[in-house]
Amino acid sequence: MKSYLELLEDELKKLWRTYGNHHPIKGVHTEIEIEPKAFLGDKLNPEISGLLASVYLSKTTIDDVNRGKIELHDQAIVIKDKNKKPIAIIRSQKAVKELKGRFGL
Amino acid sequence: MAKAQEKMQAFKADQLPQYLATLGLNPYQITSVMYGIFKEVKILGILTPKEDNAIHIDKERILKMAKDPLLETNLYGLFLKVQRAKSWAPLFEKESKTASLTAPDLWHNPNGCVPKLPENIPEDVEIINFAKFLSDCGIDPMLVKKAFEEKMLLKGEL
Repeated sequence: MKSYLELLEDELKKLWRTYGNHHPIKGVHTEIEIEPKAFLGDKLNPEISGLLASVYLSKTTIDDVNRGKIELHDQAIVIKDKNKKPIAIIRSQKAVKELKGRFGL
Repeated sequence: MAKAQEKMQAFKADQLPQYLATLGLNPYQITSVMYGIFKEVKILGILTPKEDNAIHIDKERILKMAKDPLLETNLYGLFLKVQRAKSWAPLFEKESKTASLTAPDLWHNPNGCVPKLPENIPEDVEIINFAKFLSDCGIDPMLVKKAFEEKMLLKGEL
């Protein structure tokens, strides 16, 4: 029986298989796909956290911005919980530009 | 010294995976250990006295390598390099002088601090509340809670 941690890792990998960038390494007779490990040491794999952030932002609407769930700054995007406490900060200029463009800000 | 030598075990490379599997390591840990040994043999030339062409290593060192977060992170960085280059060449490149791989005994961090990730892994997402963030991304909150309780792997981010 799998532990809860393993089940969580499975869920994260499922997400990667659905939305992630797959770059199989092609050999002469075979093809290898390296699946990212969900956790690196005691941290979430940055590839997975980046992917989670992308998925989250792809589902974000202008309502989330108006309700204060998402704060758009010049250098970063802050994701907040219901109590307006920050839960994640995305410092990707590409993401900031993309979101501002999408919402016409 | 004699005691330390007694603990040492010698393996030919093809016997190693079998031995690692008997230690109850998971596939990721086995890969980490094999990578660690590869690096030490290939780059540093240790663990392999020339006279018998075997790898000499003790169980404690293997288990240390299996749980070394920095080794794991470096290995993943290498995976990414191989993926991007679409070539195995990065596997045989020597690390730069600044890379901590040249000092294997310092890889393990007894203070539990998180080692710095290699430069080729982007770090532009800072997660402040991991559990809430995962829940907001559609992962079952109960699963997240239980996984966190089960192993305090992500302590400090809860």
